[in-house]
Amino acid sequence: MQASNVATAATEETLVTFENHIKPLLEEYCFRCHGEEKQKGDVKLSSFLSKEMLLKDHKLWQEVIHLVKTEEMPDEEPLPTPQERAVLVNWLEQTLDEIDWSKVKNPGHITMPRLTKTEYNNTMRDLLGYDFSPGNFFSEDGQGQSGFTNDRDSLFITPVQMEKYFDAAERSIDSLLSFKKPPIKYHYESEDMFMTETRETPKEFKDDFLGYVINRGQMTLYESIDFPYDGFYKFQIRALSTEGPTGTRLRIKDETKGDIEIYSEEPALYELTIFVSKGSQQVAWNIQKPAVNYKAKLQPKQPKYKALPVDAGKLAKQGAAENAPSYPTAQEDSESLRQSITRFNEIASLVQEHYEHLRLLGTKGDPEEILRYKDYIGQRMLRFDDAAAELARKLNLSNEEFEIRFRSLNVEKIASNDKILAATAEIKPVEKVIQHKPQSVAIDWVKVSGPVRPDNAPPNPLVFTSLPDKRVSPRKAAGAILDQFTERAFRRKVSKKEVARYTSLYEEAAESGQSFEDSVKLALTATLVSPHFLYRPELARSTTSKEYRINDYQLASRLSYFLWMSMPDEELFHLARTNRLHNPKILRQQVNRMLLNPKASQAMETFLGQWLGFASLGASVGPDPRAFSDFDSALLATMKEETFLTFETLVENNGNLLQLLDSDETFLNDTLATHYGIKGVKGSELRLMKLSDRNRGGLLGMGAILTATSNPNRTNPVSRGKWVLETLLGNRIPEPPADAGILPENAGQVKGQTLREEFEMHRRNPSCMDCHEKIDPIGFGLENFDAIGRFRDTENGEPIDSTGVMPDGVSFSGPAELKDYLMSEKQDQFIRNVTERMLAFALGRELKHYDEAAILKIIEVLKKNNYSAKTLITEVVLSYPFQYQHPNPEHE
Amino acid sequence: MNNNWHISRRSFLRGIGASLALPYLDIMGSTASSTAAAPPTRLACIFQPNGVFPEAWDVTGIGKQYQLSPILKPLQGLKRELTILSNLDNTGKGHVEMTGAFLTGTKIQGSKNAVSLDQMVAQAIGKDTPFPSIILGTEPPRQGHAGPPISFANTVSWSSETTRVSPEINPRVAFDRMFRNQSGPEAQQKAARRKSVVDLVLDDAKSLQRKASHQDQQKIGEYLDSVRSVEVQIENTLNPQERSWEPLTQPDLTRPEPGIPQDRSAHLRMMMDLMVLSFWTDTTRVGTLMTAHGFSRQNFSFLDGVTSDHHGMSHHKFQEQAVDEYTRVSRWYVEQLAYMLERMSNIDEGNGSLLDNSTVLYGSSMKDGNGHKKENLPVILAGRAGGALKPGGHVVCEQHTPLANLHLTLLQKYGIESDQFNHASTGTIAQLS
Repeated sequence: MQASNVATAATEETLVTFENHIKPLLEEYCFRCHGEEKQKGDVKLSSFLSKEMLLKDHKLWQEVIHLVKTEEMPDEEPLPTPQERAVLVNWLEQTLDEIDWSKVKNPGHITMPRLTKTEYNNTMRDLLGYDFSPGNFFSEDGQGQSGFTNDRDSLFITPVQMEKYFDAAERSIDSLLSFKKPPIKYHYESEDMFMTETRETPKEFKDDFLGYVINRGQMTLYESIDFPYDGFYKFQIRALSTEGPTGTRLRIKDETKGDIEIYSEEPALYELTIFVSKGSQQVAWNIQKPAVNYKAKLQPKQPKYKALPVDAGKLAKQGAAENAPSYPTAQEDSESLRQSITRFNEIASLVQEHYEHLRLLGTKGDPEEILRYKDYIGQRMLRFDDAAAELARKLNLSNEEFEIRFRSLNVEKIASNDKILAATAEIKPVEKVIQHKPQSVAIDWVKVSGPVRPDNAPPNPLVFTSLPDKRVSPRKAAGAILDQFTERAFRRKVSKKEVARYTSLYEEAAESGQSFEDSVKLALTATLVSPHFLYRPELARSTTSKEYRINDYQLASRLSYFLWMSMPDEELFHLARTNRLHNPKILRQQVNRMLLNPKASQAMETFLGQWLGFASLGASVGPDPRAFSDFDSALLATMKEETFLTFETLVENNGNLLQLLDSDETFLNDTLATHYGIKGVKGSELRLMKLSDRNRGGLLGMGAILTATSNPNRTNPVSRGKWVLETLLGNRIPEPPADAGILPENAGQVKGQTLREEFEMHRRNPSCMDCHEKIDPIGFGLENFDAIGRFRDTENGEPIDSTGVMPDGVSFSGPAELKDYLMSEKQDQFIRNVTERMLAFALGRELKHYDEAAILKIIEVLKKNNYSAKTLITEVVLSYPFQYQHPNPEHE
Repeated sequence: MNNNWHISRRSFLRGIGASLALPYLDIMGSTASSTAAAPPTRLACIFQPNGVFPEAWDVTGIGKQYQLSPILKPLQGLKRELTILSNLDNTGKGHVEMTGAFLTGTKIQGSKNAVSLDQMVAQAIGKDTPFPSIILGTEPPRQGHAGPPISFANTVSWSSETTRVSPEINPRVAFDRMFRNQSGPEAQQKAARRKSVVDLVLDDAKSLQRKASHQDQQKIGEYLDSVRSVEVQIENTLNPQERSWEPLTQPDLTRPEPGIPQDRSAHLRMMMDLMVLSFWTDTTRVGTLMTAHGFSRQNFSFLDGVTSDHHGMSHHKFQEQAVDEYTRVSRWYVEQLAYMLERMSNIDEGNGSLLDNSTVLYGSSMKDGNGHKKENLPVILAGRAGGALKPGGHVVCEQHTPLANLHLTLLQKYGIESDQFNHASTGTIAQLS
């Protein structure tokens, strides 16, 4: 049957079937590129043999509908007739509409969740009461199919990792016990420590201060120190700033351990308490100026001396014209003699300017300054003598004869100058230390002591809750400790029988003569390497084959690892114990409470950084420092902070998620505002500011995004366009054909071609056009932002062309209009995408077709609630897949 | 290599039952040294990312009569130790899949691959050493997607179809793991304590596994395997095995400085030194080295004449500048290889050098980064595998020979009886047998 006949027939008969009408159309127009032979763009449509199979890939078919409707596909002859398009589109739309997602009851399966590295560290912190960060030496978790590092399907345990779990557990308990060990106390004088810059010498300051001045990045003051136990140690330093706000960074084993901000130019004591691992460690001090959020600026220096007036230079010139001794010219003088006289008088005038400065300073001026001008006079006098000798020769006079004549011509002026000098004769240099570069930090000495309890130590021990004494036997104390500890560590109820197994480890050790602490440590270690601890308690049992509601302990864990990336706190445990947590009203309350806790910001930042793809910015990727000398880690930190704060504020204030697409306000401080070319923002603290520039505002105007989507040396419009389509809007863009090639780093900078022209040349290949038609206009719409997010109108002297026409015909010019386009055309896509991303992050798994019901429901509630960010999080928690589990979802 | 028939004391004992007392048998051929056994045979697999510019890599001439190409020039002094293979093809597309296939011969599907060559050999010959294998690298896993997650491309080593073995990139951490705290009273005490813990948590896991649904059973299985491997380590500490091989010369075991060197050459060479040390001391017999991540965007501007990153320049589109930079970087990688081979050839093991007793497989998972070409991969073998391998100069295989054929050939050289490799091979490489 001919395809065109199908269409006619179909409209007449009204009953269109997949077999008789749709399949032939697909075969005729689609399969030649998306069939068994070829899969252009990695899309294969020929495997859909029935209506039912559409369901699993409904998103792909939504895309097909869109592309056939807009006549973007097919993109080659033969093309379907308008009727044929209508038949296909109508049938697909109707079929997809007919899917009743509320009937698709499948919550999916979250693989038994192994804790991520971050979750492990946080859980240990909350479990033990101290932040030992014992997981810092674990390997990084990679991103899974969901796009997040918490994807449980890709979190494995390997033999190496298992060994690390043992180490981390033992060392954490050792650290807990370290407070009872005999403390160490070391004292290091700066001048006895190592200095990487071997040419530097210690400098003296007032109050018996002798130490190295650290004034630049690579200068490192260090010492190898042996720490007898894992534990917290107190580092005290006596230090000062040579000028203005500065600070020092303590690094151990090449890891940043803490920064000390130093504002005072007086020697003062500073201290830092940090966790250090047992063993010999390289303890290093570097300069670290406060980057963001430093509070106080130093008061301007009190002037002790009379200062020169602001217009001293001008006054000195005027004074020199009046007071400089000079040699007169006469009518009969030859041209050559006149020239010599002029030169001589000019030099005399220059010397006089220094006398005039001295006159202005008087004897109350800064001695340093007075001596400096006296010194200048001495230096200039050499040239004056030369000029005098030349003139004397031309006048046929000896130097002495000339001097006498010159003096007699200028008696008063010379006397006045002599008086100035005489007045300063007593002025001696003030004893002063050598000048140092401003904002350097000087360290006199370092003291190390510990183990100590850090300031934020819990008031009562969380682990050793019971100790043996007269009334409590060691065995009883150990039992009490383990009763509590196993429940908290396993995050669920633990039976007496279960605890007894751990207690027996204690007994075994105690009987063999080990101390109480060591014996308890053995049982605690076992708890911390048990699968019950390393995995969340969400095992799907083989006894059930259908979906089931997870119990309240499991829900408490899902919730706390979603919002805190850590174990539940006592309140959540209490609600789980009393089986009330799953009550929607209580869940809402808990979400609100948890989001207010500072622990929530780490989760939100992880979500944002991994979703938007700027998490690794500055670590493994970043701008080329040679191309962008303005870009530094402080600016980068501020950029990231802008994006984090924007999102966290949306969550906190129930703000509208669409503000991520476009907004008339953002977080700025002086550094970032200057970078963005916005005037009048003072102070280093980031705060919400109204924007007058329509190009800024929203993620697309943010430095972190604009930099993360650029190459090290130049902007990359394709990467930006792709980012908007994929990351921001959730479209699927196929991998480029392997032979497509990429533009060199210096594209747009040579051959008199703009980057845009090179791109257009580059994508003439028809296999590239399909995607680049969509990607490039968006990317070029952002060309007004350079590779580190600064606004620009020109590049290499040529005006920036930031116009774009989308395949659907909408055109725009520049970032502001691009944002208008996204706001008017892509709102729904954006909301769906942020919903999907948040749900995938919350579940820790890739979303599947059966999650559609949950997604649609969340979007519906969001629409009714002004797209509030907090609603999104709450609805995700209340969603079906978050509260249910299926042991074997693919078999549904 | 006339000592080849000598068998190690230990493996000999294994054959007749390890509970017997140790009889001294003459066939073990103890000579001047106190050790009875012949040196073991090792396998090193070295991965180089992003391919090469074909014309600058390909050698001319066949067999022993061949001329080194511009990229391979740094190997001039080792020419007689080399086998350069042509016409081996990889599978998959893009950096992640092709990196994944480098030692498995198969394409990553979802998050599944297959066991890699190094791990198969390690499982067979790794029991006699403290570590069955070591996996080293220079770059942490990267984020993002290129088909499968890009982080998958941080290794070529897979110990099961779902388990990637991530390389250790910190020289000191790698060193400490291999050489410190292996024995001694403190380590013994620690091992004894861990032993009782292991017994308990193994029970925990087994009872969980019994209750678990199919999918979660797999997860628990991973845990069980890992704890069992810790158990083996504990046993080794408590009852140190008699080493079947004691090196003739003593290496310098200076602990590396903490941290990761900024200097790329220094970092890579340190990791190479560690691999050589681990072979030398018989700490392991199988080592895999990721000279960089499979999707490496390393900035090579520290090399003269290079301005960009490795991945960028690998899509050179035949532009002169890009090709030149690309080739400079490839040559730099080969210089590092030459450094390592040189070191191995200078370590005397009695019957030959450490290099003579090893196979070093070096190569990239794609030919040309421009086009992600998977045909005629750049692959070199160095060393003699204790006599099992004869350097053959330029070995030209039949066109489109699967890379897995090389793996199958090597597998057999390490005594593993198999007639196929991950169902991806079509035979062995005749010229190598």
